Amino acid sequence: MRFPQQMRTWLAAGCALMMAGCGRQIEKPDPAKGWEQGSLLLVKEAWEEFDAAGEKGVGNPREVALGEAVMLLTLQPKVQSNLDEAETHLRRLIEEKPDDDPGIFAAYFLARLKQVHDFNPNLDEALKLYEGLIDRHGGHPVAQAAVAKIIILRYFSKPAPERAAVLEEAENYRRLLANPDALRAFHGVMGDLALRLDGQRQRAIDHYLRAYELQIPNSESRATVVLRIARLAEAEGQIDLARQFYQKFVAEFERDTRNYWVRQHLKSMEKTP
Amino acid sequence: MTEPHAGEKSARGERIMNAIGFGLIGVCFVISLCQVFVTAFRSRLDDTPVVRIAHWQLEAGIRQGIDRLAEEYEKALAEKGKKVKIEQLPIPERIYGNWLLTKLVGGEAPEIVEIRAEIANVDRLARFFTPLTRYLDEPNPYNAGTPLEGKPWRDTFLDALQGTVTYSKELLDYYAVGFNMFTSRVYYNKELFAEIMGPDAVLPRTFDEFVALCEATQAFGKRTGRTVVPIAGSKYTAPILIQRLMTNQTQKLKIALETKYDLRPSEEDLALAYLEGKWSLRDPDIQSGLSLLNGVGRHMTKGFTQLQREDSAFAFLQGRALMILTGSWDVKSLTEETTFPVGVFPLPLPTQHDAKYGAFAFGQVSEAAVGTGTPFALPRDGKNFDVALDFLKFATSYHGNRIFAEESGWIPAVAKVPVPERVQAFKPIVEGFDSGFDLNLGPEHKISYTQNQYLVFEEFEPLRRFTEKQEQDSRDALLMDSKRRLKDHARNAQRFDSPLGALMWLRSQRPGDRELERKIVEILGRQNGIEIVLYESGERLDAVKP
Repeated sequence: MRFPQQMRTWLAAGCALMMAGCGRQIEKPDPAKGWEQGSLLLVKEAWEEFDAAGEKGVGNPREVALGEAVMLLTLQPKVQSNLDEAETHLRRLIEEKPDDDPGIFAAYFLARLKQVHDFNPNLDEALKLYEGLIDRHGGHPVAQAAVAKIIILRYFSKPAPERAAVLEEAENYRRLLANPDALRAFHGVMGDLALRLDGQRQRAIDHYLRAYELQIPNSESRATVVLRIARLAEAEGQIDLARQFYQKFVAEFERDTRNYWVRQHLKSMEKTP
Repeated sequence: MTEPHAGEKSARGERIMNAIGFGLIGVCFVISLCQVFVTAFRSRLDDTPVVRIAHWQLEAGIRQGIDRLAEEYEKALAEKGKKVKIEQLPIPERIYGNWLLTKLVGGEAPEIVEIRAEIANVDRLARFFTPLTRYLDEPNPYNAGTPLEGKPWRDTFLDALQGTVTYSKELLDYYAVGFNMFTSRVYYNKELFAEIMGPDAVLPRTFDEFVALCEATQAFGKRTGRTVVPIAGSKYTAPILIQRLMTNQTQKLKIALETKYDLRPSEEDLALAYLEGKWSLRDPDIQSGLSLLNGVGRHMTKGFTQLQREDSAFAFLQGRALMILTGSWDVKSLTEETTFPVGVFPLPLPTQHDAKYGAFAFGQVSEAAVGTGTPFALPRDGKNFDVALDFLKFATSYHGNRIFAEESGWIPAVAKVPVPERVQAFKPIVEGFDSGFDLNLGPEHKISYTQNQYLVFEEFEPLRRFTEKQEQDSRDALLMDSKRRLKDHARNAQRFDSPLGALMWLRSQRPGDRELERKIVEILGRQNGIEIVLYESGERLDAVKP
């Protein structure tokens, strides 16, 4: 069936109008709103906000470029051109001013891009970028988040027999970490990695104990750490410590389905001298 | 005058029928139109704030429970000189998801809506719903003068709202509050039970006694010539039973397979452990689980894997089955629609003292972590947000939840609220062990297990035939599931970066904001955990690939 010419023109015009309507026009872009939206995982809306701010010259251009790059990392659908554009923004931010906040954030997210976002991740480059960030800005909160990433990447880049040495070397990072949250994350990662190695149970116990002392806010993670300290201590023959943490688990995590098993286990421990 | 021809007669009849049909459509159209106009007209005249509450719970008692809450709430506000109207919108479950999505996208969602994981995934939660975290941190004013006075609203719920639907681990915010809890129990026909076992018989307390009851029921059927099966089964109720039995026999195996010192190997760990040859379908624990399934399956309705939920309910309601295992959501339907008295008891499972099945089991499974059900959330575009939030506070207060539990017959979700006498048997069992694992170890493996499961219930060499067939399918299915999980880990490690970047930037602008700190700490902790598992599982999978 053929439509008359006039009708086709009208249909085309209608379609064009509809398609134009699909794109969101942002009259007054606001980078602050973009960050808020991004924090709620509303990545598309946040990217549109930063993109419009960039086009209209609203806000600090370095902040806007950073915002656009951070949102492009996870903007759906994931395409190479978005990652390329994000990389261009991030590299320019680092080249222009590596020591201000946008420059430091850019270095961290460039490392993230290389580690997990690229279609072919380059873990060596990611590691170098994280290490460079620590060397230059070790005390910055964003750089402190990179410590855990470095340890994980170094650990898995080595064969199993060399991993204990990676953890031994990683102990040096503790001195860098002033922020209690970063310190807790460090101890958590060290514990999680030591747990996976033969002969490293004591290291796992030490790190989990420090993480526990620093207060773990998430109750699920806290329950796991408390139970791991108890189980690891028992495996290492440190029965008093094991008993103490089993008891903590029983008292604090009443609604955990492992609670009853732990109670029974405690009873059987009491029977054994 | 000649008689009308038969063809003319039928043509006239058809015209009349058509006219009636069109007439009816016309009448319906006019009635609908009037209803739309009347509603619109009324809403213009009446400025009373209206809060609509949409859900798919059409089971007996629930609508009455919500109506009672609405009535009490309207009354409570009227006493304060405020006028509000709570309207209930029960929508059939089959169309609820699409209906709600259409409303959300159109910006016309009701003020309060029930959600579940498939409907409210992380993108929809972020886009369409209001986070409730900051309201839940404060005490619920309707708890004044009750044992819950002064407690943060969140901590008044039995599970502190840690369920997967009420709390989003991706968005690190609470999005819904639940009205009740669900557990599963065996419902039984009291009259038939007395007829089979004698008037003074006691309910089964051990697994052996449960099997004996099933056998006595079979014998009763044969003896009397009546069609009575011990357990009404269907493809809806059977998986509950199958899962209970298999996870009982893998309780010890699960602990034996743990490597992370937390008594809880993940499904991913178990799948990889299978691929690494650390356990197999021929292990005595699994074979014992299959034997248990076969033993109990013989007491269920023949061909239960093909029957629908309604079929098993009818069999029970018509007295053709002594028992049915289903959830507390069916309590009103099953107890009020029968002509005989119905009782309820927990399914007894083998304990470690059981002579035949005790070697692999610890015993009764704990229900302590049962999350709150029927979660209600507040859409961003809903009108009268304050009233909707206030109604949720009322409904989940000590008094509100008590009213709901008594009216609906569902177990309360709020701490200290007494469990109504008639649903005492559904109260979660806290003294029990963690369950083991069943063979649904991922979507692909679940498909093959479901497809092969019928072999477990066959009469001729069921275990050997099932094991051989499942072994052919398990490796490929578990490889596919493990690869898919790796992709999911990579995606999850990525998806946190944009919100993390935004939160870190906001923290640099608002130093000392504890809420931002909390979210950053949680995201980083989670992201690091995911990345460790991503690289570790990748290594393990590479080592087992053919």
